[in-house]
Amino acid sequence: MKALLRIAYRGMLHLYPASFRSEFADEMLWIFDEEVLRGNTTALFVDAARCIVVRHMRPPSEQLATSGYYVEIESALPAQRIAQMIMAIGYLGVGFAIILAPEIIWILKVGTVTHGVDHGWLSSHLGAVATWFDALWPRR
Amino acid sequence: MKISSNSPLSAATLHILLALASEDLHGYGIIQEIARQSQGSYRVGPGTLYDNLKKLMDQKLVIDVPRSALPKDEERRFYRITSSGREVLGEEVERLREVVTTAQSRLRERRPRNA
Repeated sequence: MKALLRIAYRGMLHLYPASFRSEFADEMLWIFDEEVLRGNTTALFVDAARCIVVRHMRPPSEQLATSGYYVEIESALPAQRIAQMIMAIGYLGVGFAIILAPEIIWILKVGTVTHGVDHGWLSSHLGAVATWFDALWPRR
Repeated sequence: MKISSNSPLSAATLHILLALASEDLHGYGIIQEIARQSQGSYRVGPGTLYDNLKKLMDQKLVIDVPRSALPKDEERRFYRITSSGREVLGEEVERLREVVTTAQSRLRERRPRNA
């Protein structure tokens, strides 16, 4: 029974934020082992559940460092995040445009070929995509 | 009375700082000391203890005792109150003293029956 309680408590410890868990989980488990001998298990579970909720409701600024290799850096520039968002929206937009209106590929292809300008890697890849679309949806 | 940004302290925080005021303790030692100093009327669980310890450590009111200051066979973490922690504890005790003084004086006052 005690082993099962220990497993259950250990499982609850995994619900704590990673940074908190990596710092205190071992000690909490040790105290749990000591307190179980005194028969205070219910209070320990209630205490753990309450603190898990409290910990997760804290503002993110108090939960920055996580365990392992991944660390969330609060000081990441908002501009960097905005640029990433714009790029993601741009990619999605181009993707949807190609799916909904394949003619856009021909516009791009004409633009790159007729002017005779070497656009290098981009033009060759756009040409390849245009050829692929041509095979799928031949021009009338 | 000087009021610090930490005042009033929560019951758990006050008891943890009080437990550490006389000696460095490990987590379970703090729990036992709190039970002893409150004559068993107040007990904290490990969740409450470490949640509050984390906050106190973030505020530099409590620190980890350096490994070099511990016996070699001691593997547990010990916690120590800092001078800032003592200051905050002193302010809180002073605040509580004033509350008690005010309460005692009010209880001694005799109110007129028809007031």
